[in-house]
Amino acid sequence: MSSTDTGHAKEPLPFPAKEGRFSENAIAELEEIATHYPERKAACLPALWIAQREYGGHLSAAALQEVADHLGLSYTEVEGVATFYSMYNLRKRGRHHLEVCTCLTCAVLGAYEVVHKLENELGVSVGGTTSDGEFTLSEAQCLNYCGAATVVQVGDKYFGQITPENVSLLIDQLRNSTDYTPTKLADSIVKLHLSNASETGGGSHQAEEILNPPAGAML
Amino acid sequence: MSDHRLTQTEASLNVTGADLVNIKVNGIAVKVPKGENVIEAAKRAGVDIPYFCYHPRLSKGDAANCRMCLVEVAMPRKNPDGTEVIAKMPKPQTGCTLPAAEGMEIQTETPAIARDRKGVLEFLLINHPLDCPVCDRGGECPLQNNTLFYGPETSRYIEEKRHFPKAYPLSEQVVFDRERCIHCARCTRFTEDISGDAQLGFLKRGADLEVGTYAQTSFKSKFSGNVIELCPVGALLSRTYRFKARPWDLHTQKSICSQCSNGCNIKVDYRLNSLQRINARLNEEVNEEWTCDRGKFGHEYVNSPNRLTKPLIKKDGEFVPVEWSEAYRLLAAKLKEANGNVGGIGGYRNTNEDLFVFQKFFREVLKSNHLDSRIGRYGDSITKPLFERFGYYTMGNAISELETMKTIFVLGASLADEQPILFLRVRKAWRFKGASVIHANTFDTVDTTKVSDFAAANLIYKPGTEITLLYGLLNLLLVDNTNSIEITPQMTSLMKAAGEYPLEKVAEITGLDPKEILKTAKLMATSPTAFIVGDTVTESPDYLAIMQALGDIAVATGNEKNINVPVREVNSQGALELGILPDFAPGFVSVSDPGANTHQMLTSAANGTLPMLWVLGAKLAEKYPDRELVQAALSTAFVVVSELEMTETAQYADLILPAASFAEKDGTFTNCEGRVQRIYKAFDILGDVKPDWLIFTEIASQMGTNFPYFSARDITLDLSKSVPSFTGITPKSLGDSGIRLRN
Amino acid sequence: MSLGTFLKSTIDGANALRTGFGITFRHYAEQQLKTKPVDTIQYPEERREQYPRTRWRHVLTRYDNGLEKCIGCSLCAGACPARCIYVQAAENTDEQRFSPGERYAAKYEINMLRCIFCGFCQDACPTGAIVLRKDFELSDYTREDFLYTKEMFLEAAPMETMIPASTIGAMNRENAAK
Repeated sequence: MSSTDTGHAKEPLPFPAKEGRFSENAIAELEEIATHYPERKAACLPALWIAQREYGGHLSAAALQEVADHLGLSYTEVEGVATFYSMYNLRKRGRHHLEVCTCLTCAVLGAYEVVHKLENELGVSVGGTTSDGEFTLSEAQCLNYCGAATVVQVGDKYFGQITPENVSLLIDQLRNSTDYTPTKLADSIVKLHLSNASETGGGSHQAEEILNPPAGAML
Repeated sequence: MSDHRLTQTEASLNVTGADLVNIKVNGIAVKVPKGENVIEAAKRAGVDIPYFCYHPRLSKGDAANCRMCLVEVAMPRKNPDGTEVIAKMPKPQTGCTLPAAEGMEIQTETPAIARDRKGVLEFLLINHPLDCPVCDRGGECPLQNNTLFYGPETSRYIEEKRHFPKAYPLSEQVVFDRERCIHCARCTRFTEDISGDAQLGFLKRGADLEVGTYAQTSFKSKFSGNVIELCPVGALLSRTYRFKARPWDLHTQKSICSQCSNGCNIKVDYRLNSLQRINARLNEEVNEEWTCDRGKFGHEYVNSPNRLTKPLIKKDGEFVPVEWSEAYRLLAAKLKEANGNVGGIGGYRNTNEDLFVFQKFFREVLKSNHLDSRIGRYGDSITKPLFERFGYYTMGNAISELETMKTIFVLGASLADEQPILFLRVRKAWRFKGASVIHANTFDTVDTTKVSDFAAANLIYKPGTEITLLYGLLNLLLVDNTNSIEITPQMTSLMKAAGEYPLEKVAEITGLDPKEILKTAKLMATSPTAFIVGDTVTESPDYLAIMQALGDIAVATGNEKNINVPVREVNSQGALELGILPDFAPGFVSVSDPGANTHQMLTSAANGTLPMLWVLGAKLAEKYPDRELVQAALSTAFVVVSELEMTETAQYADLILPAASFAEKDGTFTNCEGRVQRIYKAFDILGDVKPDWLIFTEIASQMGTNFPYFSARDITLDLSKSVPSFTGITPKSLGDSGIRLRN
Repeated sequence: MSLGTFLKSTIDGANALRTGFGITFRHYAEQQLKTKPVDTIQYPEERREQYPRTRWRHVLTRYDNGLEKCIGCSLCAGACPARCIYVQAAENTDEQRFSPGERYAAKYEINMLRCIFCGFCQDACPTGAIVLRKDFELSDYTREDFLYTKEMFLEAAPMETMIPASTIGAMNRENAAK
């Protein structure tokens, strides 16, 4: 994917092969979401979330192609959208994607200590993935849950009041869990899009998730 | 020096209504069409507003991202007490998005605007590298010009500029320097609006924003060269022209592209004796301001090392360079020996002047009617059906008329390949004028630029079923009368013919979805409908019958004048008009004793009854379908070949005459719609080449007949006198946009 | 002619000779005794020092590391009022690098018969590559010989001449006319 590489290739690349990994269910969901908007183009963002789910947590070139084919957009346009928004994964992530909020409140309450601790625990720097493919560590902008700073988002769940002391506990819990993968996040966003029909935003659903952080993490 | 502006368009293209409004630009009162944007409106007052991203031929919705065209605007407003005042808008407005309205007062040169422009340019130059000395755009760069006129003296940004690898190869033809891009979106809008492949787009955002192709794939477009001219900086550059010359090294000459029959107006930029690059030249009637890649980049042959530079005589199987005098002596002797038994083939790549003297030499000096310019498989029949039935030969419509069509039926053509400029017009008709396009062919190309991408109906029928499909459509139109066409008495015979093709039968034979056929029939009933016929049909053995069926449909829907069978080569049309035909003299005047056509000439040459052939730039060995016949004919007869390069055909020649290319001679070309357009001599190559008309004139005088021609202009003037259809076509009257022959 | 007139004219002639030879002898003596500065010099054995801003034969200079300063931008050709400069550029590759950056001059030719030594090329040059130095002995026998090529203009590469890189580096635009 060009957008995440540091520079362009020496020569243009050949066209990537199509993979066609959208399940029938996914296509049905996409068509359902497309009816929410006056034109199909507008369903690009949710379609990318569907693609992120179907392609195992990140958007490969083939995934973008499939979205474009379903919506009748040009491939470049879809890549433009996917690279514009930072919340789509353009590279393969670990089984758990730890996004530590380092915005104002969390930073004041020691988010960077958490980040450094995580870097030490996992042996990767920010943006890296552990060699066993378990964890990817990144920084996130405000996760809108300042009351429980420092907040770490993993998949579709928030873990609040993380400190350097309880970081290892969080990691241990995640190692034994399969609930908080990037695919899961994509899936719950798709579900939000489906349930909301033409009404506004998914705020209420997200709030519910936040208010029920998994037990054990809120130490 | 090359004259390079942001757009070549002089007049406004986006006049939305006839009603005019009164505005003032810098105090100058003008009437402009209501709704016209302020940049165009100001032009009418003689005021230039600087800009980068605006282009009148691109859709404007997402423009206004360069912020260069800021102007101060004041509008009349009624006070509460009823008095009217001119109230200034508190902030400057972008001229490209602001429609002119009654009473608007625009100021473009106030101190505030000058300051704004300085600010905008300082911003644009934050990351733009100042490597103008090594940039191919330097010297004709809108950013350079605007910075010089409106920009700040220096910049307050001392930070390191962003760096990317230089000269990323977007495609075979286009290299991309990402550092120089100012994100005007002209190229991305071009691929979306005009060429339609939509391959360039913006990736990432903010400071990282960059133009790119999907997943770093190659930018494959038939019109990619246009983005080089559109780019207001040196970000998109030509690979072939890269570092060849600077604008002040170049001289520019007006010309016509010789790659296909569309007749794009071009500018030939040359330096000393060599062609450096080709840019588009404005002609609203033909190519607007676009070119296709074949025309823009396919000019290597002009200065190719393979160019023939001296006449060559074959002696003992080897070509020996000789002087012209010796070549003429041999040629005259051989022509006398042949005594009128000489065949002339080709000429479709020559100017009208060459062709006129070619046929004059054959008919008047050699007394031979063995002339033919058509070398396709069924080439002889191409011109007949339309002429016999409707009285015109190839294209019923002018290229620009295609825009006015409600429906365009593209039959059997890979249009973007065969007729690139017609393709752009068809696409324009669809995208900007709301026309419906029907695409019918035996196959669909996998190209990025194709009609089927935007066609309302897409009919991929089984090979050889064109007649069934057409009569099936006629059946729907007349017998079922899906569109309530008024049935006139003369249509009854058509109905009878069509009655044998009910929908189910047609669908079965052609392998098409009945719904798609029904949809097509619905679209076709709207008038005007234009038909464009391409290679799949013209090379079909059923050509005559298909044209009969198509003619029937045209008659039934009242579109008799809208059938177009465009020719393929640069002056195929001119060759028809000027009688490079066995049975017609110039202007389609029948001759009393018709000569042999290409096939007959080759056959009699092969069996020895035609001792001499003169091949005028025709690629017989490469293109003629019957290869054995060509080989037999060319090795038996004494063959004279007038050519630019050593082609396969030339290898068979006994005498090769080196000819001048389009860049080395004056003259006129006739494009597929019958438009006669001038070419001008740009330079001489280093070699002893002559324009073909001069060769014919000189050999004629060698044989005792003196043609009164000393320049191509003399011939053009003679043409206008002696060929009825060329009446009034003089070098002067042709001007820059040419004249379309009667049709 | 009377004797008186004869004597007078003889004396006049002798006086004129004395005055004339007197100047010669005086100058001879001055030269020999070096009592006064001399304007004439014994060219070509002796050379007069050129003025600091003398503009004569062009030189294409190099950077310290031996790369050519000329980038083939053709601005000199654009500025030249005599239109006597011809530049043809080409692209540097990593394998064969002539100048920093993308572009270098593959051909650089000046028709010295046309050149008026105005120095506009030096002014126009964005990298200070072309400088007009003090070599003024430019006569030759055929017209063709006045077509100077890039090889003739180009400063010797440091490796070839064993000149310390630092001295070449000092030859920048400011003190080029040293």
